[in-house]
Amino acid sequence: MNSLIELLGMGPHGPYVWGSYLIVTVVLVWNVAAPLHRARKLREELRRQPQSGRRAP
Amino acid sequence: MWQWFHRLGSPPSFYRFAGALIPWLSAITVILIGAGLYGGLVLAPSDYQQGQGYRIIFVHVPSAWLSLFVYSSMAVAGVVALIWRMKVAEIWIAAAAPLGASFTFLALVTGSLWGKPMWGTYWVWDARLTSELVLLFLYLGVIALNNAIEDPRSAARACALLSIVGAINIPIIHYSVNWWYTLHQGPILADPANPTVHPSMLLPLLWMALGFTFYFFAVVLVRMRSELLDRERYSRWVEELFQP
Repeated sequence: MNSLIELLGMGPHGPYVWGSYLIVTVVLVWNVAAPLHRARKLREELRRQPQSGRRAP
Repeated sequence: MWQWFHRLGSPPSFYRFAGALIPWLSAITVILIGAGLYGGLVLAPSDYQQGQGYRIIFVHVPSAWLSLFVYSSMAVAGVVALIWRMKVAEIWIAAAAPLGASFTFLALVTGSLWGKPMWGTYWVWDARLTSELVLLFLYLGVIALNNAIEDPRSAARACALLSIVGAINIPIIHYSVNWWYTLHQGPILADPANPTVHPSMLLPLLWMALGFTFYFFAVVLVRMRSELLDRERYSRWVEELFQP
């Protein structure tokens, strides 16, 4: 197993490795947060939505 | 089977089924990515040629795999949408395209961050990189088409068609490293019986690839549920769900 210092440093490639992981984390978290936010807003909207009167028989 | 397929094609059944599946998919995603990160960043040794830099593989390959998988799934959904006019298949394309685009973006960016220290450049116009960039534009094309056409059913047909036609790029990306001279390395799992990667590196890579796949399914189902509610907001089942 690598020591923690070595792991965090990643040698001369640190910025490339951690840069990659950072970008991936940001995009993956955003991909979860944005649809969850939309789902919550949509549910609130639907709860407030007046009866359409267009219900299928 | 056929009956199951039909039942899943009905929006209310799909909405409930997806809702029940999402927590399981999310839990499996967390476990797989957690195991993959621990195996890839802590347990796996450094590479004898690339040092620590090779660890980008654990996010690069899963992103690239998903970029191909998502587009292929959209092409299959496109066929289903065009032949059977199945609403759930249409919504799959609309919900998956932004996710596929983001995986393609991640494959390109992490690949370029890997390329700089190893090849000495962020970008080369070779077959693998260029065809992956074309894939990003195909995804953006589907997203733009979906937003540009107001009627959701017409938009879905156009998107289905573009997904099917664009799928020609998928084998090109996959075989580009064999067909043309390229800086990009060849497949590491060309022969699964004799992998060219040590198991201490291969296993975390597989966990991560699987984790990303489960992640995709969890998020695409969340997106599809919202899309269904939005499109069917005046239908009986949605009104009953929210205004009992």
